[in-house]
Amino acid sequence: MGIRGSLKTRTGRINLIYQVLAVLIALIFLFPVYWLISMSFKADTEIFGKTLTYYPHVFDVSPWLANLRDGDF
Amino acid sequence: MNLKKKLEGYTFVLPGFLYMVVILGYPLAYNFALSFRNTNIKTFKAGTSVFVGLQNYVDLFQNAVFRLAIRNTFLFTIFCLIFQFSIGFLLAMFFSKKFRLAGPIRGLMLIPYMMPMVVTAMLGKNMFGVDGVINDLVLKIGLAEHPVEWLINSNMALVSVIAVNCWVGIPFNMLLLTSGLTGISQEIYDSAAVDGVNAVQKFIYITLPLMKQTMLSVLMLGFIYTFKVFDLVFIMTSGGPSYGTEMLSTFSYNQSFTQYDFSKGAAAAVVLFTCLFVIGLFYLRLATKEED
Repeated sequence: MGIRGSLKTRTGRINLIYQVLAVLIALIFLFPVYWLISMSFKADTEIFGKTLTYYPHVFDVSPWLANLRDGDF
Repeated sequence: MNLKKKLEGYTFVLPGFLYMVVILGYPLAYNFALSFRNTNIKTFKAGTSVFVGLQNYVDLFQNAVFRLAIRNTFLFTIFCLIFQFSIGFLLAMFFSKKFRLAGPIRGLMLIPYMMPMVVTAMLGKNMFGVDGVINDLVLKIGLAEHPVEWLINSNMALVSVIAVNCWVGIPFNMLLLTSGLTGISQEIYDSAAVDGVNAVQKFIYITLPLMKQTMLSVLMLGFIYTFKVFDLVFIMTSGGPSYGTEMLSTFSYNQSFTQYDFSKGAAAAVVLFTCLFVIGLFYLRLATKEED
């Protein structure tokens, strides 16, 4: 049943509200995990720069490659 | 019971008993004995540490930082429990409802609990920095006019570590409380609905009484786990600023491995263990009372 179908019944509308609420809760709660992952793809200049960025403006995989090449890691 | 059966029983119990004595008993006993001596780096090297009775404990309780550590540990634990339990309960009730994304999102919510505490602490330190994302959001939303000194101000530092610990603890509480909620038969709620009971009454007269054992277990486990916090506080604030986040665990660590006063560190650890032991006994008493 698509969204239009679910909006026709009261149960469908309530379920849709629950789903939206659940997604919002998850987005807020898991934001730190997103922040951690996004930082892992930022260059040092972007992480420590003056302006805070909410996503990697320059997608940098070199920290990952450096760790994978590191025998200690 | 004949001798053979008794010996059989003891043989089965023996490995576990030996494990308890060696792994648990010996370190505890050694630490306890150490707390009554004056062992520090000097006396340890010279082999001249002597029995000093309760002097270490007297010195500890006269130490303002130790008293502050006790206060901080209790404040940290109580506030963490309040927020973790209440938010965890609300989320457990919400995600127990049957809607399409409930299962997958409930699973995703466990990620903070699965993350290593060291990683969480470093992430918390980054996010709560003066130039961190928390301040950026707070300023953008308009909750503050200037960046909040989350990790620089003693009181705000305690708030910050509480917030991070709650973020880790909420999924754990939600998970255990969900298992308790799913154990309550739907028929009870259906019967209550037939009798005209509303949602609030169902919660107060059905859910809460039937969840009592689960809630008790969650609170006790949460208390024990939170009271002995170390890695989160050590990495985020190292007990500072100005001992604002000094806990019994970090105090004990600093005494032993920074001040090299091993006996005072051991005494602080004994105090920490005693608090947990008393709570554990209290829990056992309550749990046994419920069973009776």
